[in-house]
Amino acid sequence: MFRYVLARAVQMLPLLAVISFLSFVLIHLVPGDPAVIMAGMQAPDSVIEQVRQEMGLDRPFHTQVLDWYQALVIRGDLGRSYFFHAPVTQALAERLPFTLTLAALSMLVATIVGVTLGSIAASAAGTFLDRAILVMSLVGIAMPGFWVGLVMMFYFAVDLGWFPTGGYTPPIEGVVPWLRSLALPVFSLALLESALITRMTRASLLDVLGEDYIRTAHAKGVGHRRVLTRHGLRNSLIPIITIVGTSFGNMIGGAVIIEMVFSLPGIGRLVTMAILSRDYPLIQGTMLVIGIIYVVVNLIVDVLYVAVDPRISYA
Amino acid sequence: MTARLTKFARQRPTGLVGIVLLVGLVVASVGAPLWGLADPLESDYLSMLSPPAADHVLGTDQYGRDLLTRVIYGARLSLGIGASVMTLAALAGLVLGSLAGYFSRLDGPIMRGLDVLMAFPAILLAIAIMAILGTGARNGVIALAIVYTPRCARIVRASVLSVRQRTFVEAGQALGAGDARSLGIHILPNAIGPLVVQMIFVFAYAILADAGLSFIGVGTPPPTPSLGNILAEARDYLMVAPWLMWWPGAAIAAIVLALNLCGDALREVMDPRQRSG
Repeated sequence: MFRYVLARAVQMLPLLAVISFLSFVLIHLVPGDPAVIMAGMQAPDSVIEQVRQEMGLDRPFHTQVLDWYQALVIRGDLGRSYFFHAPVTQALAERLPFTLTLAALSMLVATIVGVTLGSIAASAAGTFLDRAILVMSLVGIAMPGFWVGLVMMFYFAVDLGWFPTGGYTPPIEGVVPWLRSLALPVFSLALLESALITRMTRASLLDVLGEDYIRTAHAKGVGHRRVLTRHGLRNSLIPIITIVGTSFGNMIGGAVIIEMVFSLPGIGRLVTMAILSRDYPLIQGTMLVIGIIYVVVNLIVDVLYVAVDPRISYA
Repeated sequence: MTARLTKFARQRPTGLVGIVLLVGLVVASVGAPLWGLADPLESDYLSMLSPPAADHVLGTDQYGRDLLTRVIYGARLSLGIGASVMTLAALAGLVLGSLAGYFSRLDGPIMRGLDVLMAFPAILLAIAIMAILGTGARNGVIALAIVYTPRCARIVRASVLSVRQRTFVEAGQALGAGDARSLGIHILPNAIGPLVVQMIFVFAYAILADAGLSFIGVGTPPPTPSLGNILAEARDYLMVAPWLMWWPGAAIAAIVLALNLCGDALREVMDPRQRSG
């Protein structure tokens, strides 16, 4: 097992190299002179020259590549954000944990809701309940999460006052206020993936429930619930894990937008500000870190396959 | 033809609902200039933020602009953006996927390159590309087309790989068909089905993603109405004008639902083995 994880981790290295290189060249792909764009069109030549020097854009390309990797690998340095007047790593360290928490909580909720509804639908296949769950999931996939967030904000926060209209209460100030400040964002973000996981669970479980060993289990007197969870669900986990794994990346992307709805302190506003103010070091750093997280999550999914299904070999 | 249609309607009622809904939405929004609507940009400072009433059926926004008009023009823009993204991504996917599937020497380089694009979440990749190109609707289309190209290419490649093994392709080559003829005339027409299904879903994803981008302010800039930027303005006036948020979101949901229903039905028609529900 350990060797398998190690081998997969080594296989990730080329992808990480490409991701880090892409983050580096991003600034060179910008049409025009990045120093002029960052300093502003009206900026005096001296300021443009200063930006160019600070960014190292006056040096030869290969020196810049070496500097980027040297700063990154040895010092863990991603440069300075021009908008926040702070190191990029500091801006990310302040905001990324929030986005990851939001994404992880939403993924947890989506998985629980999706697997539960999907299992109910599959075990009641063809009935009204099954149809109702299918229709709900179709509608859930079609509605933009940020819109559902707005509607819920209006009813549950503005109108009924059950939740704050926005902003974030850290867990140090109490678990209940913390959960209340996260409830609506988590629900809005989890909606799409819950619907996708419901559909996937239903389809996968229906396939498995048609197998001979399910009939055998029923025949030898195993209870309905036990057949469903032990024999059915356990064997339909692979597609479910795949979709849960890919959903984490979508969650991070969706979180960027949901954070803007509820004025939350994650990377959403950071990234938007970075683009609108042409803060390239910040964009480079964010892409790099998100890319790495995405690759690591994919690794975890691959390892889970093996943990869940002994038929998939370590090789 | 009529018999086949009734059969389709009976067997796949959801698909029929999807097609009817989609046609209705497309006609209503693409024909927008013909319906005698108000100008989506025309301000009326005497009726700012007025709730739904006889003269403004869905109410007005903070500049007194008619919401119904803006939602219809917004939906028109969304459909246009979705269709453009779909076309660009499908064309790029078709070229890259068929090259990768047919020429095994190109397979590795092309697919590894596309894997890198898939190593970022879709929305963030689109945002990063817009950081390079700049914000706005046109760059949003290019960004989303790049984001969805790998999916299309993978599907074309898989399909080309399997059709390439078929006997009639070999027969064509034995009769002297060159690579261009073999790929273009024998393989692609038989390999394009899965791409067509995928295109409908790309259309739907693109509309959702574009709405999100223009909601956070990097897509279509105001005052041009897009469903995302109307919702961004609705957020600022949530307390005083809650009617602003309903219809733009409902329009997005209706378009995406219609597309998904059509896509599901088409997939089932093309591949009877993949029946669900």
